[in-house]
Amino acid sequence: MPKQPFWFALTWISILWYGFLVFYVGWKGFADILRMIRDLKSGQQQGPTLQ
Amino acid sequence: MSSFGWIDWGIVSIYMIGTMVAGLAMRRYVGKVEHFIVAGREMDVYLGIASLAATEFGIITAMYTAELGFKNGFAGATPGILMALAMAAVGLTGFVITPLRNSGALTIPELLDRKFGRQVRWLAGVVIVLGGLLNMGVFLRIGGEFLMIVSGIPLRYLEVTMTILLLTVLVYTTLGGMLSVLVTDYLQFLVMGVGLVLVSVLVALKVGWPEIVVGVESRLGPGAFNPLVSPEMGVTYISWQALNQLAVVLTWQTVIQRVLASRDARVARRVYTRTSFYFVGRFLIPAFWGMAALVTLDAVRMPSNSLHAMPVFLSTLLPSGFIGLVIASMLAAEMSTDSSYLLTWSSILYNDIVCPLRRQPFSERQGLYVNRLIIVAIGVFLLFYGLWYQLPGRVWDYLSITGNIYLSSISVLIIACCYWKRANSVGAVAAILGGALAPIVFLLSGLAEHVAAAGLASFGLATSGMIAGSLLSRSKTPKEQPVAVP
Repeated sequence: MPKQPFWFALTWISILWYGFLVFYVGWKGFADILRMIRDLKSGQQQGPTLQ
Repeated sequence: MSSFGWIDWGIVSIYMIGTMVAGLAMRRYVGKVEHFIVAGREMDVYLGIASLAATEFGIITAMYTAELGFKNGFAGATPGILMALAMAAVGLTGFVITPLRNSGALTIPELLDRKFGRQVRWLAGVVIVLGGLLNMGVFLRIGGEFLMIVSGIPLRYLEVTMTILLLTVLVYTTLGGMLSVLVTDYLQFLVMGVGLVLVSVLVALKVGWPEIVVGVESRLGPGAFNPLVSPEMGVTYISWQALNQLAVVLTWQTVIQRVLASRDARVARRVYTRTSFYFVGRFLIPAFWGMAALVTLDAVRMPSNSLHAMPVFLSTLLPSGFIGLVIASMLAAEMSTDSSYLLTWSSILYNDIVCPLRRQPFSERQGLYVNRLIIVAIGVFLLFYGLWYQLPGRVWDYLSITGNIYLSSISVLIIACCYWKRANSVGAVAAILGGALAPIVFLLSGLAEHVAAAGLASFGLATSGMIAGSLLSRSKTPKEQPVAVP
């Protein structure tokens, strides 16, 4: 059992979570960017009036 | 002695060129102000997570959280845990963010206008910009100090380096607005994430977990592991931070801009819930580096300024090639934060301070031009303010208390706007003035030891101002009912 098991677990879960996010969000986020550009190109965006 | 070499320069150059190309490429899609401020509301979940994560982690974040770890041990990560809990709770329930996104407003003050009227919108815009710009004012210098120390570049080049960095950010933010910010945030999130993970693993391997725990315990005592017994924290500080983190999640403009740029409220809620745990690491990982610096640096290498301990430690720990990656990741962190902050405060200045003063609305072309002009003006302010302001205490406390100028009042206003029928403009004005009073008195007096009391007083005054003002007056508000209930 490592010293300070709560902080040990939280520290390593945080580091591993960051590693996971880089790959998973990296993959999915790229698809989001392509979709956003496609929608912007096709002019399908909808929004409220400006002021 | 830093081992920053040609490999490191190569890594940093590739990163800078890639970011610039991506940022400028988005310029062609900016056709109107809505594209510029909220990316045409085209943001989906994972791009939102990457953008939120990158924006909320700058070099300033690494520096102040490392300082919290250096001074308070693991307990220094407490604000991050509180923020993660607040964000998860808001994401799961949709509290405030669902009606806010459904309202179709471009900014929080625009939503407040519908309930409390134009004067409150304008006043809210002023305190948001005041708090936000004072908050952001220290980013450049502290970010520059990190880069100079870790790379080994002499400190006399700090101003020039950070001016070039700011100009780079200004170019793509001014031209591409939120669309450029989202895409560059995405790239910066990837570079930053790789750097954070690799450095953390290296720190753990080279210093060792048992050595860090024993070293921290011997220097800081039991308060290093328990915020309730930490001499610089305790119940008052934690209570203030809990309120502050909830207010950040509900009203901090860079966070809320991701809610407003989302395709719909469901996307916004998913961004919140899935990003929430990230905020634990946002505090804990650099705090871990700060603790490693505390137990590793000897008396000769230990800097007099606690803020510099972590970068000094990294400069001696990291080999060539690794330093380039760390510099690139921290540049990524800094640039994503700076671009989002520039855009977010300019959007408030434009939408809620300048536009309400005009009888005729701006055309799309004029609107884009004014937005870009405001961003450049904020950049100029940052260069000058960042060079002369001296921090009164811990960086985190300064950031919290300047943010408090509007966090307390605007969080009260937006909750009342969405959920309290009796809330009116008199209560809103009383809340804004009351919420700003304590932080401004704190900043002017420089009483660093009373920061938590000032922060709590700010929330207390804002809440009592809203309740008393609304109940004691019969102000005619534009809409005497909640604006939107989910």
